[in-house]
Amino acid sequence: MMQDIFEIAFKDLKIEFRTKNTITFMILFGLITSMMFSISVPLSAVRDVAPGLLWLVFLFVGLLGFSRAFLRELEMGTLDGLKIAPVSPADILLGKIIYNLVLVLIIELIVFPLFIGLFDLRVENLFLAFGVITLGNVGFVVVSSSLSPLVLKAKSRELLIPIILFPVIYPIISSTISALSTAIKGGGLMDTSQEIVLILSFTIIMLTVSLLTFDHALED
Amino acid sequence: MNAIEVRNLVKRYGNFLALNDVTFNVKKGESFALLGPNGAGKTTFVRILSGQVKPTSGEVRVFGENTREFSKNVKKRLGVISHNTFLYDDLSAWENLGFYGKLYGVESLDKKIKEILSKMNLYERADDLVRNFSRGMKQRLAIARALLHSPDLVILDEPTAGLDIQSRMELFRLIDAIKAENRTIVFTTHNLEEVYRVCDVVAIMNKGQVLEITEVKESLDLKEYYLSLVEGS
Repeated sequence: MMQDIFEIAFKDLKIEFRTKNTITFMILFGLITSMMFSISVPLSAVRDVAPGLLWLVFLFVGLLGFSRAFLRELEMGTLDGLKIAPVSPADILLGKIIYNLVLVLIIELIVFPLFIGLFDLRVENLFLAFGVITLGNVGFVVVSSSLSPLVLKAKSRELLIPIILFPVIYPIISSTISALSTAIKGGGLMDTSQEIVLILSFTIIMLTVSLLTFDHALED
Repeated sequence: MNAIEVRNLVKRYGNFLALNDVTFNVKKGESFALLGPNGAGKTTFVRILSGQVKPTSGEVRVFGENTREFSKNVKKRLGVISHNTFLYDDLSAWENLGFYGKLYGVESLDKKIKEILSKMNLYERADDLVRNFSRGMKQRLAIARALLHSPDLVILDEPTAGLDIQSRMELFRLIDAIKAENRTIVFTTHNLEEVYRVCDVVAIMNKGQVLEITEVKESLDLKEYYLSLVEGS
């Protein structure tokens, strides 16, 4: 099972790094939005609004890219190839989640330092801030990877994905912003434990529900 | 012994009845054709048979297992060739077969890929991206993908669509080899000559129903038989 999951993720990464169809736009979009925010926000307000703005960047970038993992399979007709192959729907979902996680980690490694530089932001607990962003992105990837197949066959799927995603992902967004704010101001792990537990619990629940119901999402 | 058992199969898409109370069996080692005009329900049946779509009611059993709950072991025994190639344009021919071969747990994978690409006259293009292939080459590679794991049941859904004469003859040679190994074949087509060429038994379908199932014999005037059934339904 694990081998099938990694084969699916590795195949997607190989295609993505060969074509750079998605990651290039995700990085560019992340850079552009970070620059626009840095121009429009007064320096005095940076520390208060930076966590929300940074998370907005990841949200926009994620909405642009995460659903592509399934859309590409649908557009090429290869989703049916996976459905008839001896892999479970859960294997397919986990493969897509791993693929999206690799993408988001790359984006994070580029956008986060750039965001700090553009805003001249002093992050007191850099390690915790990076950890919180990563954890929030893991939750985001799990939810968006699980929900995007539900609207794959809809005509206005690009519009539907954010509409469906926002209410579901709200607990992750609010907790991540709160924990990130604490980390920027120098708080420690214990100060953010409530948010971290909430993000982790929500992600695990969403992942479990998705794995149990994902075969229905793939049905015609 | 039956390879496939279809019982009271119904498939609806909204108000459209794609398959209406279909019942038949396919014996192990048999070459079974589904012949019918466009919209007869052939592809819908193939999609249910291969586990891509679940039926509205009724059931299909493949090697004794219901397609609603296909195990990995039964899926490994199926090979599907359709007008959709299931190939990744941005992977090479070798990478495509490597990916599917690993999912199907094919042993001695490199050797098998080399063999089948050579058989399909694609070995020289093994490292080329599929997006640079012609339609005929993609279809040949799709056949290689479907046969790589030596399936016991080969499902061919209008496999000659888009193939040139040479590729079509190569496909028929491969089908002969599959038949010689006593593997089961399900073949959908609306071409009568292909039924004579490939199949032992033909089910004539129209409007989601199987009208008649008969053995394919030289003496059978399939054209007359087909037209009388389809036009009368």
